[in-house]
Amino acid sequence: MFEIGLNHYLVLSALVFSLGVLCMATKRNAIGILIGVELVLNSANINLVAFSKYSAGAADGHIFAVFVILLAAAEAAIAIAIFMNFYSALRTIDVDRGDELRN
Amino acid sequence: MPEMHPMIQLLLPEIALILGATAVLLGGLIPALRNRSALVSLVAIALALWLGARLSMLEIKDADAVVSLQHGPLVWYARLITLAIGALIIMVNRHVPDDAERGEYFALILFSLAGVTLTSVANSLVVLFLALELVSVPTYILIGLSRRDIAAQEAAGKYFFLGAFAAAITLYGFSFLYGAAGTMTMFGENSITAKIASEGSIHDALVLVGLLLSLAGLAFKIAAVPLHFYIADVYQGAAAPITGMLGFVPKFAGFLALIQLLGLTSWKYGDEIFWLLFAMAAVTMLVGNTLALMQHNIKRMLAYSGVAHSGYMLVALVAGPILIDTGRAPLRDGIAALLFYMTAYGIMNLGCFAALSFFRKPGTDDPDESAETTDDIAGAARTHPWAALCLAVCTLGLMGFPAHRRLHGQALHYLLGPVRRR
Repeated sequence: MFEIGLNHYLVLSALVFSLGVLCMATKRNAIGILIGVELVLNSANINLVAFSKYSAGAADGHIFAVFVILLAAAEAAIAIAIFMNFYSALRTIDVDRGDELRN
Repeated sequence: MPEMHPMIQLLLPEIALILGATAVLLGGLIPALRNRSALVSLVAIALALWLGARLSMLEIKDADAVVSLQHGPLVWYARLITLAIGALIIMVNRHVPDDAERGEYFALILFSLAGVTLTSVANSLVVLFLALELVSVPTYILIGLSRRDIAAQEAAGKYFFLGAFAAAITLYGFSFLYGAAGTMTMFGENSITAKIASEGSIHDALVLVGLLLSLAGLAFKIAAVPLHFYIADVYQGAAAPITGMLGFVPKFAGFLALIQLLGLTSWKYGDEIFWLLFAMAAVTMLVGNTLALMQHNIKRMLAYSGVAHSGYMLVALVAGPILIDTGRAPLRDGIAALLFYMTAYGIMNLGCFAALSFFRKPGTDDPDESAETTDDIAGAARTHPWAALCLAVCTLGLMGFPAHRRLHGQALHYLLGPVRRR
């Protein structure tokens, strides 16, 4: 049987990162884009925890990951507030409908 | 000053700012105290400035024992100009928010300013990342609060998504830097800098990937090409006084973080990063100025002018400090030019938007109908003579006339130095 090592975690986080970027680029629904941002943040979290376990041997990676989770929650709260304003103005959260600003 | 833990001592100005912001936030709940919000914010900034000045003269015992924070000329200078321009930002914004939102509005500005100074104080990737987020998260809300119409909500949404995405990419880069060095500490003993210097691992793939991803995320903060596309929309949507803040606060934080990151390699980063920054500076200057010429909307024009100015400052960053001393924060040559330029740019840019906030579309007095195009402000010298004079002086200043000229020359000189050496 093979052992699960650092490289497996790095490949997983690269996959999650790519999915997050793809999600940001293709989704038109505001919540969908928010999910993309959260995926990218979580891919960084996987990296931090894996490096902390396999190469650093100290707990600071874990602590950073906890901070990032808190931050993601704060960002989600602000995102929802912005969408509520957006929705009450346009009755949709499809970001393509926001085309007030242009040259 | 009484005996305090060195960590608290190093952070006293930031603690003053955060306490001031909390007081303003809570005071905003009480109708009788709301009108004092701007005044209390200014008092908090003055207190932070005084504490910062005291600290810079004081010998702090055991300061090097605090591994996650640093102190030195870069920190003192960053605090001084952030807080001085921050006071101007508060004054320019004093009439913007609705009565019920005065508390939140000024508290958010104070939080954002505390984030900028923390960016320079950070000596750990955790503190650096959280400081950068403390800068940008309040600005997303401020844009939405600054005006009532759909355009402001759309600008807040765009800025939030792209900003959160850029922050996530920066974080992904930081995770690789942590993986390469096995520590979060940036400078000093047993730090990322020491690891990179001792192992000569500048070309180590992990360090390179980490630096490139972090640079990409920070390029968004300073609005460097190719991550400049959002800026015109955001500037156009937000109210003019808050736009003046957006031109300085995130940009300064981004450049401070860039100085810290390039410092991780002791400024001996490899050719890949050198040519990337070089090309970014050149293209940013070119594209920013060209796009600015094509705009009719004044705010969009100033937004692209800000892009071009980021390019000038990138030139100084590429030049970097030529002589590296052993201290923690390099503060000379290219970096000194950058910080000086940033100060001048921050004041001139804020002046432009402050003046712009006085002008309305012809024939209206409604604050939501602010002047948009160059035609709207034709004849402004007759209706608002002082604001028009201020706008003229500040735009001339942004053009580099006349005092800036020497600065441009200096930055170019420092840029050519390293190129010749190669």
